[in-house]
Amino acid sequence: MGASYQPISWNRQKQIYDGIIGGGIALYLTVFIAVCIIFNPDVTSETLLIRSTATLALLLLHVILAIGPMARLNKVFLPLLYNRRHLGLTMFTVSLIHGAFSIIQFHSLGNVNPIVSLFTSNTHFESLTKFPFQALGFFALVILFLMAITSHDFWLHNLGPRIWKTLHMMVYIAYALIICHVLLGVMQYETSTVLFVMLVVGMITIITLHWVAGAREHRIDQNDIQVVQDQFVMACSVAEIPEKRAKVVVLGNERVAIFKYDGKIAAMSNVCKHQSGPLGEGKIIDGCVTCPWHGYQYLPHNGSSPPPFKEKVSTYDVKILNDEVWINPSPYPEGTERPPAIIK
Amino acid sequence: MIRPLRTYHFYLWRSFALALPLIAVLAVLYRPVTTPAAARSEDFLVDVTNSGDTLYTIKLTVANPLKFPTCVAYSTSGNNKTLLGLVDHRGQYDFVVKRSQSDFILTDVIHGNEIVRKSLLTK
Repeated sequence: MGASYQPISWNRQKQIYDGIIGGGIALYLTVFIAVCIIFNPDVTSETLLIRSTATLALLLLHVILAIGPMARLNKVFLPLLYNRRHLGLTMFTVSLIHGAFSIIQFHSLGNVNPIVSLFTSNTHFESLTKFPFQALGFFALVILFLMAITSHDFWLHNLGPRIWKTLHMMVYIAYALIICHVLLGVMQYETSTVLFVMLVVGMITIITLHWVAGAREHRIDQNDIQVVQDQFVMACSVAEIPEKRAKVVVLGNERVAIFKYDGKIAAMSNVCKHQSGPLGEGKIIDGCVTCPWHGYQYLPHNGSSPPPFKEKVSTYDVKILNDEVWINPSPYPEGTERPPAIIK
Repeated sequence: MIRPLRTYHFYLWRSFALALPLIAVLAVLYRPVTTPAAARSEDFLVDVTNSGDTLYTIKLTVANPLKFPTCVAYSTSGNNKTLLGLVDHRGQYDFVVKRSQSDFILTDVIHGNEIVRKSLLTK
């Protein structure tokens, strides 16, 4: 959370995290190259570079795609989500090295522009065996490039959370393209089953995690509140809300987080203005609702970030009747101050 | 995440759960049939036959996986090189060249190395 932009907001946790990423990458490349040279002494340095960066990028992409649903399913993984951006940029850099060297190696020696050559040297779109798989990898790299250059909070702020998040969810399309790139490319000529088995295991893991996390969210969305009285709907009992935490309820099309703190109840949109994180899964720290994803904070009674920050979310009217929390489903404009209900 | 994006996520991954495994199965089923790597001791076999009075047919067999980043076939006549085509995987390749050509060459063009040279005059 910041009032101004910095290239990278370093802190000790990010430095440790990046150190682990760098060490892991160095270890992977060393082991991969050593194993390749032992089992295939004739392998060239160009082939080693292309293959090591390809497998590393694929591995990193699987790790990145696993973090989101794992954090939704278990809060233990939230620190990984907090630092995922650096891992994504690392993966893009590795993919770019793979893509650039592949284009140089396979398309730069003729009298045709290498990018034109990539799309015209193979046009067997009707064949699975000879499918122009390189084009799939190229399109995936374009998506990853767009994500990488817009990964900074400057772009998040200027594009708006909705467009930014939509753009970055294109990583799923990139994932499908990359899987097809591998299946229709190297898998067509690879005689060892090791790579295929690893790819299938990774694919099943990612699909299962996203399926389970998505189904859980879908179930929550189906629990729309129905009991209505004087334009208020019954949300939950006071006892259901843990102190300094929230109960998330579904009102029509969106989720609302109802927080309990210091003998009061207040409600605000569940969607953080930063990256649409789930505010209701955060807690109140120093009197502010704190997003569990990246620590963005909002005052519970008006939904505004404390000065000098400017983020704001919608607020709702709440009242307590017979130890039950009732909420008016009509949101107030973002940052509108609403008096919290007092617990008697 | 807002509800439209959650819905997009929900249906996208259900589509992937069907499509990606299907593509994986098809990719395996339609893999090209390859001969065992250890079937031949030589990497390249070059067989030259007459094809009429004016042409040679060069039958190139790539027996083992290529060990070069690029492998391009040429025929030569004196100092003139004629490009025949790219050799990029195991299998058989047929090239037809004029009788005026003297040599058949496979070259790693990235490193500038000559991999195989076969005289067409001493066939």
